[in-house]
Amino acid sequence: MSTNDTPRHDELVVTHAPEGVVDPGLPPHQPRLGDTDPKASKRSERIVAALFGLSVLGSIGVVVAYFAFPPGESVSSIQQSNMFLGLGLAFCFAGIGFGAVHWAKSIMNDHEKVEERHPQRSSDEDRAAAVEVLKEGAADSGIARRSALKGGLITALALLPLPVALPLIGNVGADWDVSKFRHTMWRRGTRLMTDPTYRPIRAADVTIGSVVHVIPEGLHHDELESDQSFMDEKAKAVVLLVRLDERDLKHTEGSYHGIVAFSKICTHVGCPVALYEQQTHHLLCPCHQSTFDVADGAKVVFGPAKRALPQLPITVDDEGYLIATDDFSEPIGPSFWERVK
Amino acid sequence: MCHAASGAGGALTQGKYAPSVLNTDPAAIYTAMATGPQSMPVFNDMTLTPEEKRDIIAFIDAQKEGAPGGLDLGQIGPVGEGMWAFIVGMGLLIACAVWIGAKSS
Repeated sequence: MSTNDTPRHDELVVTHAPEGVVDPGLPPHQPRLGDTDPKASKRSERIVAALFGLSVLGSIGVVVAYFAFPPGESVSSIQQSNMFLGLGLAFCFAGIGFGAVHWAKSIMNDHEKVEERHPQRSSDEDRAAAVEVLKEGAADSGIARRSALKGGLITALALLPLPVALPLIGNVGADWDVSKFRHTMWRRGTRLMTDPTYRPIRAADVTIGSVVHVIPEGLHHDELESDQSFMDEKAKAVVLLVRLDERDLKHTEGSYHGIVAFSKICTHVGCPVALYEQQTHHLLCPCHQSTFDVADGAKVVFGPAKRALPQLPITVDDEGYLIATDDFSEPIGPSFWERVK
Repeated sequence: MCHAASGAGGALTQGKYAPSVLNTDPAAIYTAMATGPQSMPVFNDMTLTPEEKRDIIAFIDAQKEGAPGGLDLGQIGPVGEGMWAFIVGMGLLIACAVWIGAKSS
């Protein structure tokens, strides 16, 4: 690379050490300011004393704050109590800690001491003796000879994980019916109810730009066998209802005069998607910023979600209340292992 | 949801955000719910009855006192706020470790 034209930079030429790196040893000892200047030494002493004094003040402060600022009932009195107790504790601990370290660093002597590192390897005799002990034990047990005992031991070891694994797997739940992930409570004719106030929704009352949090009719504590099944069903059936100008909708399938209903469970990892922007028609998931376009079948326009939110097809009944015409056409929520498109 | 559980506000898409409503006039909050300004959807009297709107305003009013736990980041939750407490706390611990290990001059 070097030619006669280019100037030679001696500082760039790397010369390799002939026999590895030589131990540079310890750097030269630098005296501290306090070692040569008695004034600085006195100052360090005063700083340490001041830090210990600060700790004393902190401890007294905690005792005073404990009586002067009881937590009381209001939020502001709790804040005050926490702040003064916390400040006092901080000073009483930090004062001792910083004082002790500063004492050790600036007043105690700073002579470097070297402790050689010893080799970890045992001596050859010790190693040979250890192997001998193991061999002797193996021969004494007769493991090569006693095949019945060997078989018994292996069987016992093989079964050992079972008592640990069984309760762990069993406690996951007795219900292994995965088919229920495919369906929700929505049926043909199920009325849409407001969540959590449980009122039926008249289509005419949903003005343009409205959003309504929706649960199916029948999802009510009085009509379900247990609180557990209420939570299980609600987790699958929640829906967000939006009305936009009919002309903005790209597909009117499953909608009713601009009213559309989509599953509120994000197809990414199942957070409730409910941040609706009425001007852009974007529906944002607050967990990972997946964004769905409500005007375009809740297609994903941004973020980690992979599928559009499943749509709940809706219409109205004779009295003008919104009802579902069917269950969701595909399983709601994040894709699971046996999903069939 | 957009304004976070405490009303402190939050991010929307493409740089838009839901503002904090903690210092908003109750009448303005009521109007906003009824009309849906900018990105905000409409919550008419069918979706949220006037009584429910009053409840929401009362809830926001109760949030103005702040959290008894001390400083917060709009009460975004224990994970987000805990992460900052962890970063700041760890930083202080590392600074202390460096100071303890450094030679006194």
